[in-house]
Amino acid sequence: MAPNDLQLIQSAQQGDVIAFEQLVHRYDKHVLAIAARFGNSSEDAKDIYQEVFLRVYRGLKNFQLKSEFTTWLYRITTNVCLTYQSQKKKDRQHTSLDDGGGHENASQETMTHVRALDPSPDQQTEATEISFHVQKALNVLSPQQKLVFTLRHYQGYKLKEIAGMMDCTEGTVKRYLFTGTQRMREQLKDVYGM
Amino acid sequence: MNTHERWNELLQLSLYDELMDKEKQELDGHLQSCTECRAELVRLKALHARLDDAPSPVVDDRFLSEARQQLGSALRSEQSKQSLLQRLGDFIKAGIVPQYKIALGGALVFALGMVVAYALFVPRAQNTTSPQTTQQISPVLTGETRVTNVRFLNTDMATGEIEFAFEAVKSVRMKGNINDEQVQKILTHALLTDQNAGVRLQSISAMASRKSADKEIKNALVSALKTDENPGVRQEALKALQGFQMDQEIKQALLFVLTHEKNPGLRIAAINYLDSARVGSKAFDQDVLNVLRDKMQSDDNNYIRLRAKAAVEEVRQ
Repeated sequence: MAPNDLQLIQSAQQGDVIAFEQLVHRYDKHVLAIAARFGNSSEDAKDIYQEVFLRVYRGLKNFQLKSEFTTWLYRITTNVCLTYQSQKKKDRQHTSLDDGGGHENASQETMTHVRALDPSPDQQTEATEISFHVQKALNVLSPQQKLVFTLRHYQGYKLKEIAGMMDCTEGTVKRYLFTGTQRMREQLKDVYGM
Repeated sequence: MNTHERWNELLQLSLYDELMDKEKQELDGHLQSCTECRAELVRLKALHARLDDAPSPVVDDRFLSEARQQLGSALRSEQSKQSLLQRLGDFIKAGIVPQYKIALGGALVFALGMVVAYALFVPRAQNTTSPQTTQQISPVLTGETRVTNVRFLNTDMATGEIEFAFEAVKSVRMKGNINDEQVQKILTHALLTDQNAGVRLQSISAMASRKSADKEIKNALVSALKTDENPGVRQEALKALQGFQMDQEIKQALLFVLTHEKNPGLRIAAINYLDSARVGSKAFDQDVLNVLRDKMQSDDNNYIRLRAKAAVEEVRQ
């Protein structure tokens, strides 16, 4: 029989890299799906994914097995998502202070991401256009609103589960969802008149 | 929060099926008398329909595999950092005797200074592992080894010296029983990561033939049902899950399919499975009933609306 999570965690805590890899492969598609919806580009998604599992790797030795591994993993995922944009902004500021050409590079990188979302003349299907506007509207939300909205609307997690992941009350999550949806609506109003 | 804002919040939560029974009754009562809120509900439904039209970013196998490769490199670098720190820690623990503390501290500071200086000023290759010679590498490349992901690290055109890294993948032939742990491990791995949908389908067929109900296999099937990009694979995963005893995880996966699956055939299969699993316990759970009621009213497929209605009404009788 294949080892369960507990066995894999215990082996990984003893330094078994293959067990750690097996544990990662059990849940990483979900983490990457959350990261892909939350980030603005595939590079953002991969950065978030990597940071999540590096934190899991570093923290696994101290993981007490008092809570479910998935609860802990998704809590790390939400924390990384919430701090990702501000961390990225800080990194860019450092780059621009350290290196005269850094700012220009950072702007170019941002443009690449925007272009990736911007429908090209060949791809102007309705779905692509809607995706573009929805992503633009999502980027106006606060990180908390964006995370709650994407987890509930696109990933299908229940509000109670999201509250567990974000380590806050269900009431707080409801407020983020409500205010986030209202802001999305305002952003999409001009485009779709809703 | 004023009354109007509260109704708006309840309306939004109702679309996510997140209202408590009391709130639901309260809202239903209010909607009967308030035209403004009924109009708001229509607008909110339109907004949700628009949002649902935006396809989610695709996490396909190639994307997953790229992310895993990058993580692998980051983990290797993390491991080498950790082992250096660990060795240093062990050395300090073993070597500290009170009278030599100051001398050891001084030596340590000096050594650290050397390490920092080395890290800052000595040019090095990207790959921290030491390169192997062609003689050392030749046993690895025997047989049907496939070479992938070649990365050039240093090239000296003048001398012809070249350094690069690559991954050597070896083909392995294996024979075993489906109830064998190793076989199951490979099958679940293939189901969740193989790029070829045919391989994923074959993995499911093999899993469906097992004799014992294994949790790992069930989890892999649930995961494939919820996330596989290929509808055929999702369909087979759902069929294979019918060989398992219905439990909370399978039920939640079926509700996920009912709520998020674009393919109507799969949504119908999910209702059928939920309905057939109900026979023993007579009534649906409240969460299943809520989703079915929602499907009765809002599914864009006429048959699904009727099927959901029939399932709900059958319970009432």
